[in-house]
Amino acid sequence: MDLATLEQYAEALLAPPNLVSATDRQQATNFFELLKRNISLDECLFILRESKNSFVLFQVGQAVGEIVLRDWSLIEPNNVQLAYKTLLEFVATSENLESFVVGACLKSAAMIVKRGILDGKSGDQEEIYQFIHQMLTNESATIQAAGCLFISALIEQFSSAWRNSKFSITWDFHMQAKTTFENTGLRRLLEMSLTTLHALSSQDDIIGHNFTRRLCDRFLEVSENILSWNFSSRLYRRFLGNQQSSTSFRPPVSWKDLLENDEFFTLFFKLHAKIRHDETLCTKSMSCLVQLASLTGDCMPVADQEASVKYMRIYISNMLELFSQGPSGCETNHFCTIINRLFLYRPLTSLMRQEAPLRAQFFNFLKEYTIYLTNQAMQKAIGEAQHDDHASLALIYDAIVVLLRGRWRTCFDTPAETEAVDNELVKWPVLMIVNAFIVNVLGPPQGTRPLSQEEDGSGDDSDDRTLFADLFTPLSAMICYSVGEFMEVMTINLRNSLSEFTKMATGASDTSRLPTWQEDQHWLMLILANSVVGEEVDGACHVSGDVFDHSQKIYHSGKQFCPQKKAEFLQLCIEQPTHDRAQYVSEVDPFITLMGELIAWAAIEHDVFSNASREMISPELCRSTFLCLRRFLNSTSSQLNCDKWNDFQGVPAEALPIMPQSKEFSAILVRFVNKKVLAVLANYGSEERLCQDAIDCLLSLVESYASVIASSAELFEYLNTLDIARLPNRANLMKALVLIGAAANDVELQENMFKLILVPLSERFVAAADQPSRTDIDSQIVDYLQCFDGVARASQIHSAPVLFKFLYSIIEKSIGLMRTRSHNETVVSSILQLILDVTTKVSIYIDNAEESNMLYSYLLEIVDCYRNDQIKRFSSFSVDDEDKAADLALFIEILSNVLSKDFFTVGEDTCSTGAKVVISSLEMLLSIMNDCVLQVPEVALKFFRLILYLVEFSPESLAEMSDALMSSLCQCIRLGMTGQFGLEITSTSLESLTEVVLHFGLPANRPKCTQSLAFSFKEMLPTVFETCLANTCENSIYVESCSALYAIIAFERSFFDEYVNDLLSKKSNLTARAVIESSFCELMEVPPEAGNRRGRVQFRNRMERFLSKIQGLLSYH
Amino acid sequence: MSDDHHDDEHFHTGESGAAATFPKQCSALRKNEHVMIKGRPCKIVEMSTSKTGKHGHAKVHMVAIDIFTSKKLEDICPSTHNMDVPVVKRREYLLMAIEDGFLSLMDPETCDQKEDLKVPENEIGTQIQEALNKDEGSVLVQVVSACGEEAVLGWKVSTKE
Repeated sequence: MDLATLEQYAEALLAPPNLVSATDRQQATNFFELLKRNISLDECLFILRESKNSFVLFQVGQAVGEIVLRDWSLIEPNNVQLAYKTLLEFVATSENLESFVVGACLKSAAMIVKRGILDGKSGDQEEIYQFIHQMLTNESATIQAAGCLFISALIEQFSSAWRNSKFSITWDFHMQAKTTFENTGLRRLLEMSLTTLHALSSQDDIIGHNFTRRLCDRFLEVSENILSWNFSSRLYRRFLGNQQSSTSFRPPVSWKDLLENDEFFTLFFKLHAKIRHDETLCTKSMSCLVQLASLTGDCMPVADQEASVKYMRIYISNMLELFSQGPSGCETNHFCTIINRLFLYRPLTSLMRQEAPLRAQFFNFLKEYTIYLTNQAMQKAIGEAQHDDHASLALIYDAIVVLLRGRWRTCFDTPAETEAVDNELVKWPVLMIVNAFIVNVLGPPQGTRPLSQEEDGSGDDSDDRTLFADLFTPLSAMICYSVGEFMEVMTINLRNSLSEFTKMATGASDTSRLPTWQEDQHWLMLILANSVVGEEVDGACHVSGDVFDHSQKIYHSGKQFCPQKKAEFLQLCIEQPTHDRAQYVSEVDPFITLMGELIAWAAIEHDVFSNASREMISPELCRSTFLCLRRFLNSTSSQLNCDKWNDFQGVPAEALPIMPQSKEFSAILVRFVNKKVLAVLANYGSEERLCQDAIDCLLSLVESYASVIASSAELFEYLNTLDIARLPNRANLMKALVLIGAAANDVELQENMFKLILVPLSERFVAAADQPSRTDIDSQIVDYLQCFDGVARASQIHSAPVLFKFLYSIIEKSIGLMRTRSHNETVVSSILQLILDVTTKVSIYIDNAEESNMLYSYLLEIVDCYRNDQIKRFSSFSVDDEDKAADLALFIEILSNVLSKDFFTVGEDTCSTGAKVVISSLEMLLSIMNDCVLQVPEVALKFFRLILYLVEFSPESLAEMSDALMSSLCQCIRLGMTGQFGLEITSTSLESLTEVVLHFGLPANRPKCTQSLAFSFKEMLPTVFETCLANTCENSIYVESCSALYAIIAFERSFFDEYVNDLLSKKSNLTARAVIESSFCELMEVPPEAGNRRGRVQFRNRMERFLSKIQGLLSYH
Repeated sequence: MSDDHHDDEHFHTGESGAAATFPKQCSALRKNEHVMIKGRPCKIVEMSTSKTGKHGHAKVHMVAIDIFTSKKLEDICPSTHNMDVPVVKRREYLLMAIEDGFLSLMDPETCDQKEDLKVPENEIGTQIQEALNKDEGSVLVQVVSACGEEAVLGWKVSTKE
């Protein structure tokens, strides 16, 4: 190999564009690609010694690793050792090497070390660690850095699998290598670090000297990496191996002796005290402390209480000593993580069983620090939109909740001790933390909230209710412990707040404080919505159990409230919200008093809004009011829960914190909510999120008041004054109205709603559709289509038949629109969206074959329109036109729905009408599915899923496809298998291939398989086999590729035999040919049979054994 | 903010006397629909809402393209206000000939002749001329009209008999 030529090509590759032509550059690229395939190990090592060109060194550094791994079975052990040692020595002894060269060489060395860890071919491992130690303790900063980088490279190699998959190193090999490394190398590296750090910790000044500082830095980094190591799970690896996300410190039992030494823990505290003023070292050291706080696993089993209590004592006492003045700014997050991890990973009994003084000192410290951090974090979060401390605060709040909830598990010796723990932990501390939070979110004079800084972005993430959800959730758990006091405080706060607003609204005081007041009220609403009431993930709301307990306590204390007063009080709040309500305080439950204040605020807000004083209304506050109102209304209206609760608590329903059940009151409540919601929808259309909150509030009444709403004359009167189709939130409102109708449970009410709402809309739509295209008409058409879309989205199993009949006539009308409005993208995509929702939510519930078929016949017409008018857009499609592909994605999704519907209803009958619709569409789609269109992830994913649904749900339809269509389909499947579109598409394509091969493998279908189709299967076999080997760690792909391979072999055994012979004749497989050949023979010992499920599972098991036998031996590149 | 937002009673009128624009609440406008900005009929290409402060009311910012001149125009408007929307009509005419730089068109439905439109002085004009010369089928041109103005904005060849 001529060194000068090599360097010449390297220079060509790196030269500026004006000096080298594209052809020369391409030639140079090809040269290096070829070089890596043909160069020998000796040549590489020679170049490494002789060349000074960084790019050449980089390429050769990489090549050494690749060659050694590729030809592992051919290379002698001493040459393997020579290779990695040369690389390490080269890095350690060369001055001013570029970092990319160092990286490439060390990575290759690490790969070789890993490859030899099981068979010992890379020599004595201890020699490697001695070498590393020498590098790390070397005076030269370069060598030290190289040593550290090598450790990082080793850790990266042993913790990852995918990088080496092209050398046929299997997942099982990776797991075995990793486990071996954990027991030997990793532990050895940690011991090395501990020894050095221990020596350093006894020095007075570490950060003052360059050498000691750097040494400390390097070894802290090594320790951090090791303590954060993701140790192999003892559970079944294939399923858990790559899904373990926990970063707890979980060393294997073989490390137990190391951890039994107390100094293992104290060392890091001692060291931290000396280096905490250096930010870099401090961060690394804190990370080590965090990992130690999350110690778990076999070395520290939960059952070993004594060890656990001792560990907690050492940790807490050292921590209190180290952070007696509180953590510094850069330590805050780590410190909070430590607290969080301590409570999460250790049984709380080990904390509760600490000696009383230490425990009290710790709890007191925790309380004071939490209050301090609450102030600091909230000031920064609101005043500067900085959320670092906020995130830390959430960690510590969560930890406190874990502690509060878990404290009952510990039984104390005496009642006095129990009382002491309650005082230290629960009574005042919790209320103080909650109060600190409230003070921070209220403006002066009640609170200390700074001027708000706008959050970046306007999405849901910047919404306070989302942004601070991580604080609201634990706070609500804390509030439970003092719910009586909390409700009292909040009632007073709300009452004062309303009084202040009333004065401003009536002109009794000036409005200069209005913005501050709005923000205060917004926070009060958010706190209220997230404290005594809560919401489940499915939207169902509940009143906190502690509120019920509180009401029960009051009831059993002999104080009984008159149910009539409750209704009177709430009615007063709705109808005369500014009226004096003081007399009711002692006459209704405290929760009802609080809810009354909320309702009074909602009523005042509506009154001000209706009186055209809109400038006094904040849409943001209005949203928070709706959120709060929704949760209170929904949670207090449910009868079922109250009956259940009543069964075992012995308190009559009237005394519970729920809404009055009388018809009169229900009508008043419903009228109020209807008015408030519709007024917002009509006037604040563009406040999308406000409108959504308003509609959600209306929906919160559906469960308990649907019939009351449906029979409310005011609702229809109000709707008559609005044009639903013109409201920007028309779809959601229509959905809500349909849901109300469906829940009304009264045919007359339902028919009335249908007649008064749906029929007029449909008539107006038909009239508009019959007119020629014009902007105003087309815009109206889109409005109507969106209304109908809302109707489709509201479909439920019992309402679907009626809605289907209604929407079916709309779709029928839409066919004409697809033609006359083909130029209007908005109309076209609105039609497709409607059809999508009809096929997703409505037709799925329709059992009548005739109706389904009628829908399909319309769909065929829609496909035809799309083919004629829209498809030409994609001929000049580029990836920048992503938004143009939106309706294509909709279209594909509709087709998928059609297929899956057929699967459920028609079953394995002959080729169904749904499948015919899809085949017809597929012909069109395959003509446009080029690389560019498939670059749009949504389109690609939906397209490949469609293919799978087709071949899986309706394989008989394959017989109806033309040769050209079948060939295009195979090409697409092949493209999908390449992995370039992501794992899901690879898996979907493999599954599709299996289905296609299985179908044509059946004796009845075999004659229909053309020669070119069989050849396609043959061509795809190597990709399937390689995908199988490369994805042993990706369970779904592994299983799918095994199944596809099994199907192809069963289809035509000779395809596989030819491929195996080809592999065996490769140069790199010659040495291990005997082993590989016998492994293949064992794999094929039972000939695969088409459609044999048991045979396929057995084949997969044999494949597992095959993989473990050929690991590192078989080369297929 | 521009000052040309119109109230319900303020209308543009076209040649026929019918309303050439109609009012629509700003929040009800959509991307790809039309709107009048600075007196010009435009197609909205971008819409976003913003707020003046956390408790402020939403304003709609829109970027639109003049349908006749392709010039980009922008406007910002309180979401509850009305804006004028032009009535834009599209018609397809059969191209019979090109004479002295004017298109000789025929309405395929009514067979009415139309000869007052010039060949567009852009790429579309050249393409139409080429399509007519090639004679591979009937050339249909799309004429868009709004606010008393009209122009050829597209064309296609129909091979149907």
